[in-house]
Amino acid sequence: MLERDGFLDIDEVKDIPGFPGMEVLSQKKCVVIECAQNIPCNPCEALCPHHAITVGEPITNLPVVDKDKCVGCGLCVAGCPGQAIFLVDQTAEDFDTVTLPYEYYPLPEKGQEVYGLSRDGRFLTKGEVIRMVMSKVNDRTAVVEVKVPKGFGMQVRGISVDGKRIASEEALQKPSDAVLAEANEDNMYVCRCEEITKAEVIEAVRNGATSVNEVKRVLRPGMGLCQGRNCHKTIERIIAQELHVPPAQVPQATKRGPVRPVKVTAYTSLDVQASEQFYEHDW
Amino acid sequence: MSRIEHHVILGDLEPGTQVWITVDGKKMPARAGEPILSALLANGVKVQNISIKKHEPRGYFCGIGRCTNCVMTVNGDPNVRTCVTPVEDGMVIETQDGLGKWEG
Repeated sequence: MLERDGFLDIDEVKDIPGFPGMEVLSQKKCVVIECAQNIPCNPCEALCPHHAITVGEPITNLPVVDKDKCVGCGLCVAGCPGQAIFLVDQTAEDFDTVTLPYEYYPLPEKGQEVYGLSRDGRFLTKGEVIRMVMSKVNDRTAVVEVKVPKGFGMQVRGISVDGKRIASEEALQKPSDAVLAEANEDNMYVCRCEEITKAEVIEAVRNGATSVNEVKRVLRPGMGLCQGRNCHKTIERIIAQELHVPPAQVPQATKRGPVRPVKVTAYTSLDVQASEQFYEHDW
Repeated sequence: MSRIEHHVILGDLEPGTQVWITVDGKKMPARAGEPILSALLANGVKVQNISIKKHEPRGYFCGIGRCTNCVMTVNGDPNVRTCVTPVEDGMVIETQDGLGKWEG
C-alpha cells in the first residue's frame, strides 16, 4: 500500500488509470503508468507522439492510457520525472519483457545478466538486458529493456547491474514503536529558528489565537533569523485545521521588507550589490 | 561524506581550483567558487551551529538560502548563510553558538 509502505502493491496498480489491463499486455507491448498521486506534472502527455497518454485539465489528473494508440516506443519511460512509466510485453509464451528507466553507473550492456528488483527494491529474479537506449532525446536517462521469466512482467520494476542497491529484509524493517513515538508529528518543529513545535502552535490556537500574527505574538514564530519564510504557511494550515476553516480564510502573516537578508552596512553605506543568482526563493 | 565525481545525470566533476579554508581551527580543502556548505559537507562537517533555545546541534535544512539553519560565523561575521555564500581562499569559518557574537 503506497501510503503505508511507500510503494504500490499490484492491486493498487490495477486500479490506476495508467494501467491498460492484463488482457492488453498479453496481446501487445504497452505502456504501464504507475502514477497514483495527484502531482501537478504532465511531461508524459507532451512526450507521446501518438497522443496515447492524456492528463488534461487540471494538471493534477492522473495520466490515462489509450491502449489502442500506444506503440510501445518508450519515449515516456525516459521522460517521466518520477520514473513511474514502464513498458510491459507479455506476448511471448516463455518470457516477459519490462522496459524501465535507469540512472546509475555502471550502465548495463546488451546481453548482460542483471538482478530484477520488485517495487520495494527486493531481489526477485535474474533477467537479461535485450535493449539499452541512451539517446540524446532521453537526456541522460538510460532506457533498458529486460527479459524476465514468464509472470514477472508486472513484478520487476527495477534492476541492479552490479548487485548493489538491493533492499535487504533488514533495511525494509519497520521502525520500532519507540522511534515512531519520538517521530510524533506534534513534536516536530514548525518554526526551526525559534524552535516551536506543532503542539505549541495548536495550544496557542486553542487558547484563542486565530491568525498567524496572533500566534507570532504568543510564541514568536517568524521572529527568528529566517523571518517567517519557512513557518508562516505551515502555521496558516495548522490554524485552519484546528478551526476547521479553509487555509485561505486564515489571516496571513504581515510581510515587510527587506524580503532578503541584507547587512546593516548596506543601509549605512548604500553599497548594495545585487546578486540575484542565489536569492530567488525568498517568500 | 565525499563528492559525487561521476554521475549519470550530473555528469563528471569538472576540475576546479583548490583553495583552503579554516573550519574551527582545522584547515580544509575546498573548490573555489562553491558554496561554503558544499565544502563543509565534502569534508564531513555536518553541524553548522548550536541552536539558540535548546542548545542542540543543527545542520542545513533547505540548502537554498531560505531557512537560515546553516548559518555560521564567517571571517568574524555571525549569521552568514553558508549554503549561498561562495568560498574564498583563506576564509575562517566557525561553528556558531546561538545567535553568535561580533568580534572586536
